Amino acid sequence: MSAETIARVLKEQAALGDKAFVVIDDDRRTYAEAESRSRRVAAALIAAGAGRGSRVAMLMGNSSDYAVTFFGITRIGATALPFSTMSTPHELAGMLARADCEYLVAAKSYRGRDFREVLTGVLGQEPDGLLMVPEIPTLRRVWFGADALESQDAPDATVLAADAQVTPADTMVLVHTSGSTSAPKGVIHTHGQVIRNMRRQNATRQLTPDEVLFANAPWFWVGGLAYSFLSTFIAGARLLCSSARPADMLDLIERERPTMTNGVASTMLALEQDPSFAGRDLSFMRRGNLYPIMPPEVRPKDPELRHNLLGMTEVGSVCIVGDTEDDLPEEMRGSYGKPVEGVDIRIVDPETGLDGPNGELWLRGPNVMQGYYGRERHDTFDADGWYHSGDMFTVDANGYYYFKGRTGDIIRTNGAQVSPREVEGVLSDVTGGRTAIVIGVPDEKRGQAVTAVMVGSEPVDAAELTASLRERLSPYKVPRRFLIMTEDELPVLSSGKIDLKKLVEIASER
Amino acid sequence: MSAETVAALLAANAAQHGDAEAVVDPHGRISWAGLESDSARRGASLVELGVNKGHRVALMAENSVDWAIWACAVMRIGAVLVPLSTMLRGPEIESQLRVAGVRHLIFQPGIRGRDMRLELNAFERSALPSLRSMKCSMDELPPASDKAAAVAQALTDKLLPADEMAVIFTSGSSGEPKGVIHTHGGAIRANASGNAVRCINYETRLYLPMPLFWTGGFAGGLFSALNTGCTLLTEAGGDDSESLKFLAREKVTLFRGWPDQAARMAAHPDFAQLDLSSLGPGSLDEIMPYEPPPTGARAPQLGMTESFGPYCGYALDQLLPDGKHGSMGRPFPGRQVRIADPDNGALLGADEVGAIQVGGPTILKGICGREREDVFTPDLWYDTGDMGQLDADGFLWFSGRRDAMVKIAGASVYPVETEGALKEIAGVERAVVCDVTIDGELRLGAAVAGKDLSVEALASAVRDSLSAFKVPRLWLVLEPGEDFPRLVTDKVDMPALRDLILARGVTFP
Repeated sequence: MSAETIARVLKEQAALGDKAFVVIDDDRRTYAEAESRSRRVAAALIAAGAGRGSRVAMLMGNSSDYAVTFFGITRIGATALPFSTMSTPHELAGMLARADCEYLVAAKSYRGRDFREVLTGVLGQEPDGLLMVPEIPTLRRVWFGADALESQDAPDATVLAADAQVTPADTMVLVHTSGSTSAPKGVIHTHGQVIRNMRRQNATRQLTPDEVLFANAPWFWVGGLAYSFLSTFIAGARLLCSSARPADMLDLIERERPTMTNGVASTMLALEQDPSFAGRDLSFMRRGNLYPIMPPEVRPKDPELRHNLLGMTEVGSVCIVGDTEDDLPEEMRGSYGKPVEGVDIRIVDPETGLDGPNGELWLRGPNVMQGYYGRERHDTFDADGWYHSGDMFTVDANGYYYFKGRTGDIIRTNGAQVSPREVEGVLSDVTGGRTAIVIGVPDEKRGQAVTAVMVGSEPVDAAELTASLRERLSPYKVPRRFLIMTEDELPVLSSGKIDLKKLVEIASER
Repeated sequence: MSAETVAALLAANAAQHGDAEAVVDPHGRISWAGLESDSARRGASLVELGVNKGHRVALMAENSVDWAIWACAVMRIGAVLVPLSTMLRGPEIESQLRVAGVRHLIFQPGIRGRDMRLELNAFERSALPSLRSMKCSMDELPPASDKAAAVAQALTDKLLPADEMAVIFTSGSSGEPKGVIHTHGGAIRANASGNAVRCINYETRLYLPMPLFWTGGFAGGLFSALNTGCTLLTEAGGDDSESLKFLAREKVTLFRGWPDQAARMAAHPDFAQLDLSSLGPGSLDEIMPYEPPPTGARAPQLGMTESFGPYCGYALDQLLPDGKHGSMGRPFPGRQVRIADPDNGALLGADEVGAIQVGGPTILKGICGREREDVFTPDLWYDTGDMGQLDADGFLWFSGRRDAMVKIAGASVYPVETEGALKEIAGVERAVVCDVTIDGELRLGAAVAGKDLSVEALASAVRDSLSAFKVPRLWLVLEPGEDFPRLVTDKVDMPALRDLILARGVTFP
């Protein structure tokens, strides 16, 4: 019987002893350390009053501190809530309050941001001692750095007793995702569903203990959390991450010799452009999708002739994926592959409500989230239990799926999702109520670029507006461009609604 | 939008009729304004003591006004109430605390001669890592600091219908105790669906002595009061004479005690001297002055912990229409009920016997420690484990529990299904089917009551509607006027019936 809680996974994998499970630049940790350090984190959490069901937020970049904190929280059945390190104070306050966080473990700083300073601003007081703040009424305590949390005299028996009470049905994690409505939503996943899902996917993608996976996706979003961090750990393999400068990152890759890659290919352009790139031996990277840095003989002749893959927070990472890593025939250009085990899929025409080859992707089954935190079941799933993804797909006669855009208007930029409603709301706030329409304009580097159409004739000071937006929104949500259009210039549909498709076309020409 | 959290209901009742009584027991009473302010004060003290939103807080106490204040205090700050039965013994308490991950336990010090402080202090605490504090319900609470009071108020203000509200334990068929999780929204809508049918409005003085720690009292009593603003008359129970005085003194309008209790009270020597003229329609027939209606004319209410109380029934002050006697009435407005094939889940049509399933925004959120796939159907409905059918007019007919399934020669047979087929046959009034052992082999036996019945005709009619393995082998047709052997609860005495079928039944074919 395979482990279906984090506590059991940790115990099983501790047998791998001195094998490194993760290498993040200079930060290297073994499987044995993952168990022993997370046990000390768990002991400190228990001593502070946390337990099964406690919601513990995390504000940390990819690091061994993140790993042991995540494991320390989840092994005793508390829920981990990883927050994006790009979150603004405004966003942090919103997530802490809406997700009812009791505790927060933050890095001391990350990429130049001093999180103690940030949290002092969020709370309106020093983030020390027992907290009682009506604006975030559940929050009781903040720690800075996993070392602040590692108990020195860990009562092992208490942790092991707490470990043993956790069931696969217990909530493991709330991952925040941009929704089509304004505020980010916390997506609930349990131990059993995530661990079983990753185990099945590891078998499909042949992520075996012998592999070294190079993937830089941030662990606070589902791709990095489940599809790299947890899946490698469950596989007993090794994960390699880096935020170093291109030449150093290439040194690291040469030294650690990853066999698989995963991530956003465009983020590898800087490596490919590094002067030292030509002289590098990267022949060991045989599989994956970071094509620009992979050896020429395994690169696709055209990336569109390899299966893409669809991941979403609501389905615990990847839900449609290719069944081969070879080049596809021309008629399968743009394929995303087939559904993974653990999801049932329907393609439903949004107009007629009928199943067919073209329509919106609906999902159901064991991999699908338990729900959104704070939202009722019937507001999340339809009467037959289906989750409507908002993604439009076509399925061919052989059961391969092709992405055709979004029903809603979520913008996908550089691997992140941005809700136009959220950005429009903030724009309205900072401009004193000026109407803005936020759209995603096709962009070679980013996929889509967040673009704001400011309605009216007054000019805007883009630099000033950007600066004030950056105080409220994560950098990736801040529009790259601002366009001025009067009400009369806006394209409208016969219904009187704004023709967003047409607006995107106009914006990409200007 | 109607109020869909306990906090919102408490505030609304206090605002609309603050002076009216909310809960009354034989020793005390509290108004809606009092329940609002007392629960707020206790909620703030709980925050001061370290209780937080989402914490599971167990309450082990007998029915009383105090029980209601504690429960409201816990739920209004977003903590999750875990009512514990006062009948539980040590290992059972430990097991429920463990399954629900209880953080804090509030207990009545003396429960029916038991010293709870002594019993609870004997627990091996290392086996209960989640449990952080145990508090006697009678001990004085520390006053909350201004900060804790402000935080408690903020927790109350931000409560959402989706927030977990309570974990209620119910008897599972096997193994681990079954802790059923309800949200504020789900529970409040579930209870609201039945209050009109149950003849409860804000003027009602509802006597409901069922324990508040189980769904009957918790949902049917406390939540009916919260939802309608009526007055709940409750008591820890015991003495009929005291209960009668309590009811007369408190001018009960709706008696929803136990039927046998009602019958005992009506026969009690004090009954005639007491003024119970306040009793109104919807009260149990056993305690009312009129002739009781014929058997089957009143619909019992069908419900369970997972549905937060009854989901189906018929107006308590009316008799079922002709042709519907013996049914369970209709699903309450807002409730979703369907019949599905118990083996493959396919939905069944009118008059087909199958598994009764409930769905929609009024059912449980989940069960502690059980995964969604093990609790719900793929489309997120809940299988009640009961068998029955919906007729074309939407009346629900109950057949029995599905776990009464038996294996006959390797095939799964639900005696209720065969019973259903028998009851379809002209002349059959009642039928019970069960397993009997003939020559060391398990077979189906049937006992049937009705007019002008012959075993040959019955067997042939059943064979026309059911597979051969579902047709009884041993048949007993009761004599005119003869009834099945019954227990004191009026349920059929199955062991006695089995013996009767074996003794007098005839084998056919």
